[in-house]
Amino acid sequence: MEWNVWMRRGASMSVLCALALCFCGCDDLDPGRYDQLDRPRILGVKADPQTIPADGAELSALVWTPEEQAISYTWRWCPYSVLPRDNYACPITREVYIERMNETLTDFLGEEVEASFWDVVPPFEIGASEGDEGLTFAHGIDGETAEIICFLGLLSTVTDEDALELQDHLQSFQCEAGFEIDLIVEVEGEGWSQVTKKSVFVETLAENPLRNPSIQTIEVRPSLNGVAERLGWEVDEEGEYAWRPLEGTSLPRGNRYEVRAVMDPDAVDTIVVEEPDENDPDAMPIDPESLRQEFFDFGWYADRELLTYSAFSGTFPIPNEQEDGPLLKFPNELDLTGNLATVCPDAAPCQMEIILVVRDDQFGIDWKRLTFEIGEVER
Amino acid sequence: MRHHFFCILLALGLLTFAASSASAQDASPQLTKAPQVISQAEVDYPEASLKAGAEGEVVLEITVGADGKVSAAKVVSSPDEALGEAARQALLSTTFSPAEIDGKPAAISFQYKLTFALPPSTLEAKVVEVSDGSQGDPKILPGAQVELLDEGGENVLATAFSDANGEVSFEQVPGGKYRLRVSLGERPTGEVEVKLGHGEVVAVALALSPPPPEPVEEIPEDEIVDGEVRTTARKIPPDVTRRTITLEEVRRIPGTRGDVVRVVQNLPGVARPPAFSGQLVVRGAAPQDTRILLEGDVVPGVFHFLGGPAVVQSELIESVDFFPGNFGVQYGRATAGVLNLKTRDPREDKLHGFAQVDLLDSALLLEGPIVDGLSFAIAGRRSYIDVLARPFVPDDSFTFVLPRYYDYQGVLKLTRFDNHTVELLLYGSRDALRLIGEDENGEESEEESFGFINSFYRGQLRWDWTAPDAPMKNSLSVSFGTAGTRFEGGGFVFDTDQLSSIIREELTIKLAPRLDFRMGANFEIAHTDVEIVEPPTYDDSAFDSEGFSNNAPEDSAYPGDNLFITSLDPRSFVSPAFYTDLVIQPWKGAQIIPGLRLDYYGSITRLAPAPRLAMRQALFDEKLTLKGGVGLYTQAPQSLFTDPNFGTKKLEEERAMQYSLGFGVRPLKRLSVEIEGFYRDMSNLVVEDFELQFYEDGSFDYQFFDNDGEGRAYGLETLIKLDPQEGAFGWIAYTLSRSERLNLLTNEWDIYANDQTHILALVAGYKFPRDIYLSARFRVVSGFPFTPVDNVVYDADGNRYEPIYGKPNSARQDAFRQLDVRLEKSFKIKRLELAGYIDVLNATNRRNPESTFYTYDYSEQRVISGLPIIPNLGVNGRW
Repeated sequence: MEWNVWMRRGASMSVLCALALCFCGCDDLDPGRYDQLDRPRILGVKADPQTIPADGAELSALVWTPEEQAISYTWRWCPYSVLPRDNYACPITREVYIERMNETLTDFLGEEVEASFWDVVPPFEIGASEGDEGLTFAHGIDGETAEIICFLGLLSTVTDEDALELQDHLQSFQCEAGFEIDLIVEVEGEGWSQVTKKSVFVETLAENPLRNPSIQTIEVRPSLNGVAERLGWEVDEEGEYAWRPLEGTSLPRGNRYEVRAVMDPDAVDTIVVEEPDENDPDAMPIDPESLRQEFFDFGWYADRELLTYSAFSGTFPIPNEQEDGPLLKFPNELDLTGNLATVCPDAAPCQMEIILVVRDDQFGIDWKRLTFEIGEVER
Repeated sequence: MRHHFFCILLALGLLTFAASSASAQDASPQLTKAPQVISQAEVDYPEASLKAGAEGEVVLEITVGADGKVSAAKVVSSPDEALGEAARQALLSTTFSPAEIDGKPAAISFQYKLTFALPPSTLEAKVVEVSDGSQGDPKILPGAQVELLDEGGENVLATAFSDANGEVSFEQVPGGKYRLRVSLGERPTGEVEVKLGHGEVVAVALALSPPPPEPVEEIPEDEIVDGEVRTTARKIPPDVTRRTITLEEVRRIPGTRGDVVRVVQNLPGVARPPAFSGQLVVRGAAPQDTRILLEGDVVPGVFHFLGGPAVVQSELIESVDFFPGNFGVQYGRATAGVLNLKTRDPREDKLHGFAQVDLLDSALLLEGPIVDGLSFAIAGRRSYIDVLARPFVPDDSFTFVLPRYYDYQGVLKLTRFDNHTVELLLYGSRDALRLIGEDENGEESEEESFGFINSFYRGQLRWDWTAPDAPMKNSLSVSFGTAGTRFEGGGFVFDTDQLSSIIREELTIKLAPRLDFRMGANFEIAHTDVEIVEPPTYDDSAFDSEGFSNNAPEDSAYPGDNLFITSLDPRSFVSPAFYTDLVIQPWKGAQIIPGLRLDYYGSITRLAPAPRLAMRQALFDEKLTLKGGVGLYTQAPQSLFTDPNFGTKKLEEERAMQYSLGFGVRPLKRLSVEIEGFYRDMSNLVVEDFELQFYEDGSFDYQFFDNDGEGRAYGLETLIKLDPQEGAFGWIAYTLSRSERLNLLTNEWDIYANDQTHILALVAGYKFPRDIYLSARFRVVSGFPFTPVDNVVYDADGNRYEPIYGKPNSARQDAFRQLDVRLEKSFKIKRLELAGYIDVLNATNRRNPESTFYTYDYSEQRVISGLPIIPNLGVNGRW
């Protein structure tokens, strides 16, 4: 055998041993695919509108199950932040909460207030719903009262020595923007249950209430052949692209497809900032472009392992100059070029579901589900 | 030199003769009487033939006259010329009885054969005792067993015992190479190589070291002054204590790659470190609670990365003093244990070397004399994973790994002046690991790359002086050097550089026959610079409405001129320490060592006293030794905790009160048993606690940490050791312990992360014929503790699963069990000793759990297993 062949074999062996020494156990490091829908999952909770007015908002949860199940939801709210370590239990009962607020208000005003004033605080238990039905949460607190209660919550944490136990549960208390509360929902399916929480705002007198992002649609187009075709879009009578539903469309195998979120620019929140003090030479001027931009997080999920990117792929700002047109953000890739026998064991066509969940940086959320078929190779 | 004519064989079988007279021819004369030797001449074995090793038959044609005298002699054949001439001269002086032809004396010619055999030699030896620093005539040792071995040292040819004069003699020894092995009682066996010529009387001196000192009556100097309770000085030279682990053992313990520091991890009280870590977890303490020193200098990192070899070659190490607790006052700034490496003196007789090559790295050592009284040693090692890996990395890979490390050591020792020794030690190490990422154009990208560099370069100048006329000695050393760590990744750089110096001074005086006094000081000076480079803030204008994939901008989103560079305030500290102790031997077998150490910690501006007391009592003719101790130990908080930017200014030193009690017994000559219990009570531990701290002067700052932490560790350690002899060695080390921390929220004691309840290590080795060594190590250790997840909830805002943890460290991974095996064959080629070996790590390929993690929703716990079976081939040679 040639000398250099021996050398290469020896070197290869060395490298293998060294790499084995350094990186053993790497195959054990798979934490599972976050984007893979293969077990009952809660994917999001929404209050619509996000800043809840007195007459209410519709509460809903996005739950995925492998097969159709009867699912029930039990909703609660809490004026303090609920924590995982407590299994999202509210650290205070409504009675104790009212007692604390009343004491704080009395101390602040220097006189007793009528007990009926606190009837405005709704029960912490909101109600229950089943299936796809939402639940309306009408708390009945007008904007002015909500701002007072929010302010009292802040005040109580400063004046009340017993508030130490609530230190970990404090909300943001940006009362001029909204009265932040937590929604807790217990989801129960067939043989499983899970609890989750979501922060929302009770509407106060703020001029710019927070809004949920809005997904107009999910755009799908072949990525191997340029941008020749935009599946789901067609040119309307005015020569503009217009969305047509993709449901029922069959995507031929053998192609890669780019999937994108088409966002509504009107749902980008306007940020309220304090006017700079004219007498302060160090005060920074307001950048007008920064007033209307928001970071969105795009989470893609699928029930078959065909998406390239997982849920945690990034957050991106939406610059405000894009107000006039649809915002296309964060493409993912659907790869149908390989052997699909493992992900589509049934004879073609097989059905696939993609779920897109978009969150903004102010607890806003929206989602969209897309179901389609993977068809035969296009000839 | 005159040699005797040992053997002359008269052979007439080939006798031919011719009558010298014509009458004899005419009458067909008959030989009626053959000539007989009357007087035989002695032959001097020619010097040239002796040197050439020539021997054999010399055939001559000689003529013996009618008078019986040899009138002529001619060499027909001879092994060499000198032998032929010596035989010819001898025969010319030899007298025969005349031959008779037809009954009358007559001249006769015939061939005569002489056989020469090389003369044997006599080997005379004198057995004496030698020891360091001994003066005058060496001590004569009668009764020593001296064995004459063949050149390979495998077969014993003869055995004798030294007489009252220490002398022993072997006679009639053929010329050649031999080995002499000498042994006497507990003294370490000595062996020398002897080359014998022919017909020589060779005298050699066989030097034996003094016997191992007994625990009390002849306690080694450094053990006395150490004042440690447990004589855990694992010294490499085989002439110090019975608990020695020799370098020969170290080399053959599987799984350690001959690493003397790593062998410590198989001793009682030392927990199994996680895979890929070189941590030393002593008695359940945090790794940073144990100090690792090289000749008293703080080693920035004792192991190369990923749990690689020690940064100092074992071949250059003389001893490893390992103190798992209750160490003497000369050591401080550690609340758990101390590991002090000592380099050995370079050899002074001639040039020696050592080389080793295996699959991970290669090492080389050279040592020898420069001039009389000045010797040197240099050593180096480099890994070559990077060199070997590069050709095999696919071109289209996104990233590839180039890990590499090297280290070096140099020793220059001056001993030519009486009572003075000066040594210069230089050493350093560098580890680098780089993951090179590519940008979208396939070119190396700094933003996509990650790198880690850890390096240090240090030196030490040491002067030792022993008073010629008084029982006093002094040692002064100055260490200096730099250490740096650099991490870079994704445009982020974290770079620290430290300059430090340590000055150590120690004076020891024997005040009375049973009273020793010691005082010392050390100054640690450190200057640290930290630089952080952050990538620029996100430039969203680099992205357009179509997303980033289609219309990537020409200019990067990371413009270089926007880098944010932070240089933290440089920090400089001077931390002096002073210590003193007494070694009192009030009665036979007893030893009491009170001591006091004062540490000033510059980083927290605090003075910390640390009184210590150790006691020992030998009983039953030294067969049983009781020992115990108590002492306070302190250390500064880690530098991050006191950093003015990230830490808390007003922290105090961490403290540990250590107690230990145990005994050592030697039931058999080669078997020793040590059992020791310990308790460590820790207080003032630094824990996280964020709050606003107000001071009397009205100032305030943010406090991220405080000293409210408490901990405790207790256990029992056992060491059963078979002293090495004739290639066999072994020990059983077992530790039963518990390490806990006080949970400040629940006020309950929680298991500490480094707790390992059971630690069992069995180490054994045996030398088979033909220089084949087989050794094995088997370890059984309790699994690492971890905090279980009791429940999981989903955070719909953060889109993540939130675990609800149970009691801290209340669950434990499966036990660790591993068998390591090593097979070695050595060869001797003149001065070169070669050894090839295969060291099989995890020979049973057991999947030992190293760590656990959860799937993204915490629904499933998965195990990261440790090293699979790894055979490591290597070869080394020394001369």
